[in-house]
Amino acid sequence: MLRYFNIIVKFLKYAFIQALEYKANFILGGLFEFLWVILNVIFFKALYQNTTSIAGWSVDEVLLLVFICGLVDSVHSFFFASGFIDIPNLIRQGNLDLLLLKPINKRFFLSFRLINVGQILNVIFNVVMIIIYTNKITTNLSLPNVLLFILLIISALIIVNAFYFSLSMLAFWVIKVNAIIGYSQELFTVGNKPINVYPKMIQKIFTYLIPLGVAFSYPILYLSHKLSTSSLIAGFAIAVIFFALSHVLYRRGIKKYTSATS
Amino acid sequence: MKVINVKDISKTYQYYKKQEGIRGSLKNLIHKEILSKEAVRNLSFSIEKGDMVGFIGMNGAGKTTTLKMLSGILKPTSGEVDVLGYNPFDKKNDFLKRISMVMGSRSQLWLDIPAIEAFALNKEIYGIEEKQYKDTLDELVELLNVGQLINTQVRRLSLGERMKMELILSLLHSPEIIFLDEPTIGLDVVSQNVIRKMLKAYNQKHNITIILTSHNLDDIETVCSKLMIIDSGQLMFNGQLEDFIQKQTSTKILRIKCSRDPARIKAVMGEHRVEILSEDNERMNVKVSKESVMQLTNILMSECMNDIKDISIEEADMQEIICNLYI
Repeated sequence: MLRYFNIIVKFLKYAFIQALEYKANFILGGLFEFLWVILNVIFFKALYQNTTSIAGWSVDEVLLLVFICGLVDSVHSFFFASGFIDIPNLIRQGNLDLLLLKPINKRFFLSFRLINVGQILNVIFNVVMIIIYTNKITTNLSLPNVLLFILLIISALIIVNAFYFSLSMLAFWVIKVNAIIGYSQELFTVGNKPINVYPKMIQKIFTYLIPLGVAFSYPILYLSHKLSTSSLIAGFAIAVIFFALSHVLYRRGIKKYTSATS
Repeated sequence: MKVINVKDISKTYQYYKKQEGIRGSLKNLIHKEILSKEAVRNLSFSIEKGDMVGFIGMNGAGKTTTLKMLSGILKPTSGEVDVLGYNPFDKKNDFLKRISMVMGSRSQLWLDIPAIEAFALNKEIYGIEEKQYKDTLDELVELLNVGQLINTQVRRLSLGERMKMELILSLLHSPEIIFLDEPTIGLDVVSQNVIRKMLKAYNQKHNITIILTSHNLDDIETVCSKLMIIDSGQLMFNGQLEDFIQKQTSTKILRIKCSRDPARIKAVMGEHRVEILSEDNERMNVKVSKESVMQLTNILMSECMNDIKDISIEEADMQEIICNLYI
């Protein structure tokens, strides 16, 4: 375990060295995601000028949703996104070969290789906002409540991680998947809206097929006591299942690579 | 002690037949014709600990595919591979820690970061002890004479310097076997020499097994003691490099520097069976059979003494031998 921690520290160090090399990238790196969160805040604030509740969600709950989505997005971008986007290149240029010979968990290595330190400010900003808005919604949280809430956010991160990892695994079958990964960013735009505003059919899709509804809405529904215990358990189960599915895809991809390439 | 044992391995790739033009591409969408290519065919050989094996063959002969099967990157379609008692393709960590691979055309370094950082990462990945890490690094830096370069951003290093860093990186965990796939490709002569010398010295000190592919036969001649030649996925030769040269060369090269018009030399040689490889007014290169080379030299020395400035007898070079082999 310590070894893996040390390796992440090394990757962090490299990312900082690179960030200092390309200062503009570092500064601009997290700006897009930050503006995206701010624009959503402005949009919902404007919307709630005319109403106090949308599909049972108060303005504070919706803003908390925006920040949770922002946090998951920025943590994902911080650790994984760049590495995942690079996977198709590794496959195409054959650099995956030498990576396969490292005595280490390859999925770990592929996931944490390219850290984007520019996201650090977004991570901090969203964490602070989540703490503020959590306190607005509910005041008497017990420790188990807090832990479960954090666990739900972690499972959101796992779902997002598994989702994007799976997309980049498609590169084993279709070499150019960068466009697919790019378009899929749009899913965040859909996912950061309260799941209850959608028609039943679409809610099902965002629960079971592309579980971004589970990822982002469940933590808030839990805080507001609108999440049944069975849904809570289902939420965790979906995260585990999605992670496992992405691993199956990963295994198959590697298998195809090692039996088909030259 | 045998460290590599290969029995009857083959590797077949499948690929799609690509048809020409847009119409062809559309056709491919509906129906793809699957073709297969046998990159390696029924290869069997074994390699002893400490051997330095040169693995040569033309482009597409199956060299890299074989190395990839030995290291565990690719799975053979059939046959058995045993490396250090492991099936390489299982890629067990214990196995991976005992081997290493360098590919001349691929890099494991980080462009924006000094090589020393990549070394430190490998220290963690391979779990190398601090003392062993320091000692090995010092030794390799000295052997390759790279000194302060390890602290320089990789993108500012020359191609040769980068390859030296790749070698250090791949040897830090003291592997027992190293696979080198064209390690000197694109490098200048000086860098090539440094790398060859270093490999030899490292092998002598640590008894590491080296398997090296190269198109540069000087690599093979200076570094390797054993030779494997592969063509169309099959082994054509497997044995000592010396034996190969002995067996394949029935001729020697006579190099003559003339002090005046070589007409007389030519006339004398005309009575013997020789092949003039090149000539001008000052020098001649002549191919002569091994048996008659001494006799011819004697005759030339006695009969054309005044026409000859210098004369030398040389082995036909590897390049030529290999070319002959393929023709």
